[in-house]
This record gives sequence, structure tokens and C-alpha cells, in this order.
Amino acid sequence: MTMDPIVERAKKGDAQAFHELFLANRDQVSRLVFRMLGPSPDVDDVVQDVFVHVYRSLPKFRGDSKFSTWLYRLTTNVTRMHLRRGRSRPRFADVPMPETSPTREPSATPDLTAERNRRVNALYRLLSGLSEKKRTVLILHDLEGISPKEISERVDAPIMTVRTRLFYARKELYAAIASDPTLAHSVEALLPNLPGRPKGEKESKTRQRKISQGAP
Amino acid sequence: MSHQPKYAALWAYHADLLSEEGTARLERHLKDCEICQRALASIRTYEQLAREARRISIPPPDYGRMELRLRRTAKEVSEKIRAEKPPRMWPLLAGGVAAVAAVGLAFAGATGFEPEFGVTEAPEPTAAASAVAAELTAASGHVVRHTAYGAIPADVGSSVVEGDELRLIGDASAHLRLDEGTGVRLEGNSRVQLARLRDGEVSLRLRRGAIDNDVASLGLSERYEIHAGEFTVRVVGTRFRVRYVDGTLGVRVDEGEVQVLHRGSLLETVAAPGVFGVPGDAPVRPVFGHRWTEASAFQTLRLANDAVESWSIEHFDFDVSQLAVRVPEGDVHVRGFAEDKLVLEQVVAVLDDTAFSGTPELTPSAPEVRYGFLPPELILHTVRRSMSRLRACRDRLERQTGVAVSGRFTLRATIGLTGAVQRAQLVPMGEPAPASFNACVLGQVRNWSFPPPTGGFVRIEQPLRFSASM
Repeated sequence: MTMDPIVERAKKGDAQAFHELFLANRDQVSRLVFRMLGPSPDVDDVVQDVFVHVYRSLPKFRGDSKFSTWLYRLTTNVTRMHLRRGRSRPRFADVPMPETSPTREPSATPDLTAERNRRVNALYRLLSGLSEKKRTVLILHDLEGISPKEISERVDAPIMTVRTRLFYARKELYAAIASDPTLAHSVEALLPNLPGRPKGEKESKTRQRKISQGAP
Repeated sequence: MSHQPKYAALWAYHADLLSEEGTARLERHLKDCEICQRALASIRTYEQLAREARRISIPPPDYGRMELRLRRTAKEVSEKIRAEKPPRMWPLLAGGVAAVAAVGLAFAGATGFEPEFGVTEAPEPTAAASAVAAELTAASGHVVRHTAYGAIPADVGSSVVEGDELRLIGDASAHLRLDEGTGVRLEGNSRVQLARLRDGEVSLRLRRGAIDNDVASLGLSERYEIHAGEFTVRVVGTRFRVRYVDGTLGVRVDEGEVQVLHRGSLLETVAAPGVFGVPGDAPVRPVFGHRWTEASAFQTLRLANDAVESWSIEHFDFDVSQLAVRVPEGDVHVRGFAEDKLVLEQVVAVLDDTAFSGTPELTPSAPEVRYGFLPPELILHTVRRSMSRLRACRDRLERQTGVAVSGRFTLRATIGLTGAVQRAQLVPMGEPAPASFNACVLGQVRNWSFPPPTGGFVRIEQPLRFSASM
């Protein structure tokens, strides 16, 4: 496999080439780290750590795979290590999580954006309850849109294993969503419109319940 | 009757992957099964959440800050790689200059054979190395700069370029800061030419006098040399003095190691503490100001007071009563001594218009501080980004001593005009934390870099709370 000339120069100890690698890849790495961590004040630190690892590990990069595949695998591993450390770490209570950036949708009002951010934060909270392997696969596939084949290269596992992890990750997440109080409203809102369920059924049941409780 | 929802079938239904028959069968089941209805609603909720998560845009990372650290890492790694794979024309260097020198000496002692030191003949730079910025950071007395265009008085703050020669008349003294954290102190009656000022290759020609050197760590391929007549003093270490008067060389090494060469052949490797020849009795003094390479703004502070015989600025001593120094903007601790007694002390607020702060009227007084403004959201942005490092202080302490710090603290810090933290204090709201924890947190805080405030200093108070482990 032909190696990128910048990578080759960096492997030979060209400090400028390291800088060029950083410039060329920092946006993708930041994006992946952000997707894996969710809205977190640690994103910058992890991105920096990724590149420190890249610089230090590059001499060992043999070029068996594409540099980008190697880089994303390393990014995934560094982020996973960070998450693993965070699980046994005390939480900084007084520091609020940074607000996520508003979407580019012109129709997004501040209220809608805040509500959306609240739901996305809830999603990442539930994701943190998954095992590390399942969470990684789910984020890479469902949030980053990476194919199972590429995921298998990044996490160094067979494609079938990736698919299995993805299935069980989703299954666990569906169950968690169903029982999560923050998302209960979103789930309830979808129930009346489900196929096989006559419209208005929910409303009539609710009315009956209210009547039985003595509501007007 | 309750049952486990069939997620695989429900997901296939949601993704429209079921046959017509399968779809009809599932819809019949859904009609009567509230569990599966909720499961399907969860699947759809998740799909919606994932869409929303994908649409969230990434807050812009602070790449500039990352680059500072990464530049150092890149340099370390590059040097390591080069050391492992030496250039073919210069193989001996791979083992390290000091090691090669030691081998050479052993040869000379055992056989009388004068070794040819390949390492002394460094290859010519293959590419044009970038020029190193040099600046006169402090001067007292008469310092003259001889350039290609003639002689001009050397003012503090002026740049000195490759080829220039500095001449110190009488008892004058001067400090020179080179890029990358290297500083040189020139004594009176000295003449020094900056023969080569290139990145990784600094060569000073000492025509007469004495210079103290405090050299930043050198990479294996980097050189820092003093040429004095037929002698060359090559740095392997960091702090040393070279004295060259009437053809006699003296070298005193207080830190690190240097090689002394004569006409290109190694005479001696002098390790600290050690001397070669007669370098003078005085210890090599740390060179003022050169560690401030990261400061972005400097101002010239001129000090003069008849009652003062010597000045001390941030613990660097100057045995003169009149002095001009380049200092970074912010608070500078100035003390004046007469007959070894402290006669005045002041924290001078060096601002962008401080050309002559605390001159002859300098008397003991409270610091002059001017307050400025920095938007709170910019302060919070920097603080939030650094939280993980503060947590690391707590983790480290817990790992090392088993003590888990918890409780509320107030972090007080003063942000200087460059955005650097000038002062920091951690005030416990309850039980005091161990000193090592305070030191670690404050060490991190002092590395914070804010955008430069407008109008003066900014003081911040940030509440922090460390709670028990999750």
C-alpha cells in the first residue's frame, strides 16, 4: 500500500510533517471525539491526547492499513480510555456542561434548541450505561454513519461481531429509553400514532382514568 | 400476559423490511400488545434522538492551544526518530555527543592517538535553517552594537541579528535572550559576535571578555557553540561561563556539560561542577529574562535611584544603580539594595504605556493596578476546558496518598494584560486541602491562557466543588 508522503515524512522525523498531519486531520478527529463523548468540556483535551498518541505511535505505523483507518482506530481507543477513566472519577459538581451549539435550522427557536439539547444529553447519559464495546459500535454506526466493515477495521473485530454488538446495543438502548423518565414524554407522544393502534384510543383511556379518579 | 418485546421484528417493521404478510401479522400483534407498542415507540424515539444528535454541530475546538503542546511533542518525537536513524554521513552522533566524546577520550588516553572527531565537523545545514530571534533584554552602562552598517548604541528591547557584534564598554553589562529559552549574560569589557543565529545552530564568537550562558535543552542535532580564538566550547549541558582574555581560555560549568575543543580537536569534556583553565571564581549566574519566551508582550522598565546600589527583579540580581530591562507585561517584583540591605521594594504594574515606571521616585508603595474587562463567557470557556486537568490533580493525590479531596473551594486568580494568569489562590470553604493538591491545582491554573483583557487586569473568583467518587 502506498503511504501518504506527509506520513512518510513524519515517520522520518520531519516535525513540519507532524504539523501538517494535525492540520489535515484535526477536524475529523474532533468530530469523532465529540460524537463519542457527547457534549463535554473534555473534547479539546481528548483531541490533543489523540494527536500526542499519533505523534508517538507514528514510527510504529507500518502502512498495512490506510493512515485514516489507523488514525480513527487510535482516536476511538484514546476516547474509550478517556471514558473508562471517567467512570471511576469524581464529578465536578459546580461546572455546568457546555451548551451545545444551535443547529443550523433557521426554524430552531431557543426553546426548541434547548429541548433538543436536553434530549441529546439524555441520549448520551443512556449511552454511558452501555458496555464500552457496544457503545463504540453504536456511536460509530448510528451517529457517525460508518459502515460495519470500516467499524470492524477500527475496533479490530469481525463484521459479524460488529453487527451483533450493534443489535444488542440498540436492544439495550430501546429498553433504557422506554423506562427513562426524561424521555417518557417523547415515547408517550409517539404511542397514539402507532400502526395497529386506533387513533384516539389513548385519549379515551386517559379520559376514563381521569373520570375514575374524579377529575372533571 | 406479559412477554419480552421482539425487538428484531419490531426494528425490521420500523425499517420496512418485513414482507406484507409479516407486516400484517405484526400489526395484528401490536394492536393488542402494549409492551410491543412501547418498544416500537422507543425504537422511533431513538431514531429521532440519533437524528438530533447527528445534527448538533461541534463547538469550535481551541486548536491554537493544542498546537503549543503538540509542537513540543513533535520535536521530541522527531529527535528520537533521528537519533534512532542517524544520517549516513554523521553516524557517530547517534549515540549522543557526550557518549562519543567519552569514547574519544578513552582512545586518546590508551594509545596516544589523537582521535578524529567526526562529530566536531557537523555537516553543513542542508536547508536554510530559520533565523533565531535575539533581543537585548537588559543592559546597564554603555553597550554598542556593531552591525554591517556601522556602530549604534544597543537599546534594551532592540533585536540583534546574525553577524552583529556587541561591545560592552567599561563596567557595562547586558543580557541577551535568544529564541527557545536560551539566555546569555555579557560582562563588562566583553566583545561578542553572534556569528550564527539559526534554529538549532547557535554560534557565538567571543573576542574578549566573559559570557554566562543558560542554554535550553538541545536536541541531538542542535548545536550551541562559543568560539574563543582557536578554542571552541560546545554545549552538551546547560549553564556555563566562557572567559577569554589575552588568548587564555577559562570555562566554568555549573550545570550540565560542555566540550572544549582546540582547532577542532577535543581537549576536554567538562561536566558540572567543573572548570577548564581560569574562568574566574564567581559562580555562573542564571541569565535574566530568557525564560519568558512565551510572553507575547514586553515593555522596557527603566530603574534608577541614587540610594540603590543593586537591583533585584524577580530574584535576578543586577549590580548597578541604573538599569533598563525588558519585562513581560504584568506585575514585576522589584527590590533595591544598598550595602546588602533592602531599601525599597515594589510590585510594578508594567502596562503597555510603562516606559518609565517607578524611576527615581520609586519608593515602597502598594502596587499600581489597573482593572480591565473580560467577558464572563470567555472566562468560563477557558475554565471549563481545563476542568479535567484539575480533576487529575485530585485523582493523582488519591492514587498517591489515598486522600480524596472533597468540598467547596473558591479559586481566585488575576488575569494579566496578556491573558496569562498572574496570581492564583485556592481558598477552601471548609477543611483545607493538602498542600500538594493546592500546588497541583494552582500550577494548572497558572498555565491557563485567557484572551487578553481590555483596559487592565481582571480578577476572577470561580467556585469549585469536588464531590465524592461516583
